[in-house]
Amino acid sequence: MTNDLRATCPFCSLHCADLRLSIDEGRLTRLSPQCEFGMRNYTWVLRSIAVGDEYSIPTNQFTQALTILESARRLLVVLSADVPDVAVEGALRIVRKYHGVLSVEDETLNNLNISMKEVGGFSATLGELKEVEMVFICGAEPKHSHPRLAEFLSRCAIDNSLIISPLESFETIRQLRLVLADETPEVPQKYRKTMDAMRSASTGVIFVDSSFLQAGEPTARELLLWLRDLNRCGRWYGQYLPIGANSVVVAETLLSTGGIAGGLFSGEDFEEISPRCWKTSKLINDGWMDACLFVGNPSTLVENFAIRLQGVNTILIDPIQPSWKPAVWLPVTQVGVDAAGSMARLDGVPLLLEQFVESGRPTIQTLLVGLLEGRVPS
Amino acid sequence: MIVIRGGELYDPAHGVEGEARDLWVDEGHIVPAQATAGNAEIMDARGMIVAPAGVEIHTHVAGSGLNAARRFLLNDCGTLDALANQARFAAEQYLCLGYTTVMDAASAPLFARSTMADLQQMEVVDRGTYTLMGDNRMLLEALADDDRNRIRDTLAWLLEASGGYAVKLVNPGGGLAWKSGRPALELDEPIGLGGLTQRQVLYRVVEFANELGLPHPAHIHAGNLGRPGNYASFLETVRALEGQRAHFCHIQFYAYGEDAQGGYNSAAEQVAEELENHPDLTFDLGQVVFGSALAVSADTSGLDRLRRLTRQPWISRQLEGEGGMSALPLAYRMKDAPSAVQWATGLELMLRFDHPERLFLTTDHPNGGRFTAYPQVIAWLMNRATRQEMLRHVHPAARKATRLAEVDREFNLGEVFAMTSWGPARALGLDNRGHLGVGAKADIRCYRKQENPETMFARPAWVMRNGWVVAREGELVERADGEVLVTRPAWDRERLSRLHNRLAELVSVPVRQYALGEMRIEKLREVACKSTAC
Repeated sequence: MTNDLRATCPFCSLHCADLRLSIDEGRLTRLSPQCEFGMRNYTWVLRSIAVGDEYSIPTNQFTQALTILESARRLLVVLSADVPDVAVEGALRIVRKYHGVLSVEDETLNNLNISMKEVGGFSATLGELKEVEMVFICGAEPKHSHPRLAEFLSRCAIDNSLIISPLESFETIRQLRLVLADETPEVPQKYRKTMDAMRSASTGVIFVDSSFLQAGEPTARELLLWLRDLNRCGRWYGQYLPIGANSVVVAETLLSTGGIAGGLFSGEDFEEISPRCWKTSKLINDGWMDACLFVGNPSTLVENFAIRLQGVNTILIDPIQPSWKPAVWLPVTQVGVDAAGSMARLDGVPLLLEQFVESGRPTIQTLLVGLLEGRVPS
Repeated sequence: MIVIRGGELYDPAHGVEGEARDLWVDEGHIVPAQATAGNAEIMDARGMIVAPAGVEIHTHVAGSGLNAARRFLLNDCGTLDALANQARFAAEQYLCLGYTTVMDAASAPLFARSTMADLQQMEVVDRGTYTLMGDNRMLLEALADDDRNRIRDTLAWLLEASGGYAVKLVNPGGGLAWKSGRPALELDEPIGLGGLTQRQVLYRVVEFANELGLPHPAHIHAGNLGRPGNYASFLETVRALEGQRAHFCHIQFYAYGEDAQGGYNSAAEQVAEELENHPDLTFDLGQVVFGSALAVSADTSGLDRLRRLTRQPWISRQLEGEGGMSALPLAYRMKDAPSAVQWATGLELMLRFDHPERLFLTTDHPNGGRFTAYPQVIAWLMNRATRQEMLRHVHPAARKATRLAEVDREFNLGEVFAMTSWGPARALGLDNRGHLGVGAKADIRCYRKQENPETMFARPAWVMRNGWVVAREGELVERADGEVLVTRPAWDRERLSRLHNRLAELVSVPVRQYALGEMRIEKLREVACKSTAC
């Protein structure tokens, strides 16, 4: 029998809250409004849940995870962007207990944070963006990564829009910025129309995705300088567009509860590691840690991180079985499917995602408490 | 039962000024003196100062604005901890300073859940937040239509939906005007919804907040904050309320005259004199302290102006239908003329106003500086020589552009406790706090007497909350759960579907997710409203 229900999507940072799902015997048969990204992820998670027994936590896996934690001399705990905010507190407690360090995994966030310190940031809630006259998208085409954002933008007044590819990012943005100050007399032909429109627009938005910011901090700084200069003559917003859920808010939750963001919590043994804005990539590439607890979906990690994580004792806590091989994988519920939880939209607005399926899998927070207390969660 | 024996009691609510007395506490409250101590625990307070615990009426320690601002300070751990500490630690710092009730000053309904998440972390104190409404499109529309029932119900619904304690107005209508390219809004200028002006918004919202019987009246951040010469428009705003009960926050930032070069001078005397004529108003100071600060405010136009002046990076987050939230790093430097004049203006204003039970000590943390500087500010207020010494070290503009040097007044301890305990508790409508009368909550602070008030106030010998000693010598010793204070005035729930229909048109979040949605507030305490409506 088909079950029709309403849901808020957990799979990208839009967190569309107007979804209608049709589920027949545990399988998704229809998703409305249509979204390829959402359909693919719901199907994958529901199929995982349907498998059932595979997802009860084997005692030996749990014991192995405990052994890894207890024997770790240098433990790195990484919080992925798509964890519910309650996981932050649990991860902090684990870090304190095992004298580890904690990081948000989204590398691009570090670049944004470091650059913002000098330049600042401008953003708006999604509803505000309906009024903009112009849109720049720095990075991947949102039709693929955030299909319904593309649909939303197509309804807005964006006749003069431009997608800037990561490959050409730095120079293009630099030219766009300098043209505002009349410092580039030779404007490339392909940008002339856009630049004219940009100069006359009173309001606009710049979306930037993680592939773009992985180009490094100088690009992030150039982007923010551009945004700053645009705001001297109009009202322009910038929106970071993470592939998964909103890593900015996970970082801010960490700051609010743990005093760090996109960086590290320094346990007593690691005082030398302060200040608080180190990069996960640096620790991984330097081979700093001998154990890693990765909480959440690592899909937004740079690809070779996962390969490097295979080289150390890595415990992965995630709803979905990974394609790479961590030492231990502990399956948990997916917020918005088989657990309820709070997540933040790309504009920072917190949303409650409801549970609509019973799976018997433990929640992230239950599992973290189990690891803290040394007993398998029931 | 506990007997606090022989302390020198200060209880401004009851005119008690340093009398050596016993204070009896039972089951978290102050009780009448008993004939014998019996099995009661005796706490020897002889030679010590005993007073009601502090009540913070205006600070920014929770919510999305502060969370965003923290990102400015990632590589500056000292400043991060001083100005934007984690909500949990900020609460602990307050408690160790002798404060047991802390009110966060601004939360937008759209981000209510993130504010509440921070408030839940602040479990060692009683706490609450004020709900931002000055740029709330639904409320402004109701005001523009002059629909009395809709105004009242919208206001009450927003408070309930957001878990707020009071109505907060920040430069009302200023956000709406700023978004349409008008950075400075005057009191009688239309805000952009028909002929509705800021004066009308202020008057009507204050009127309805009082009619609903909210324990704390409308909490107002006026327009033109921080501008040289703004005292005239501030006093005009004060007069616009026509004698209604309200609270104006961080008024130091509105006590400026303007010199011939467009710089600051002090208008503290004029402001203090006018405020004497408004006995139904209360105020908090927003004293500037030297060092790093962080502007965190819903006053987007004010911060936009400030960032242009300071050329500092800012974070500007604009919210659909609700104005915005912005942040900007600042520094007040002793050798900088404007900073020095602002510092001196605040002290002059406090010293020239004769009613500490109506003008309360705040730094508008972190806007004027850190709240942990309260002991230093108290020392300046209590000791003229300390002020004069400071005046010798700060930029000479502080002497030239203010008359602080001429002010001889020195606060006594009773006045200090009036401006930090009794006054703010009464303004918040928390009748059982801020005093030591029978029936009051046993929230008490005790100090060892010291010559230097700064040293004394920096570290209470102990702090009691609900009858338990929770901090000693600046250290937390007991974690007693505090409550989240909210108000829920009555309103016509038949209107909910119409409110939701309009909300659905205005915001991109689902109606059921708006504000707190179905989030449950742990340890909630509803403070009763005393409606004056027929």
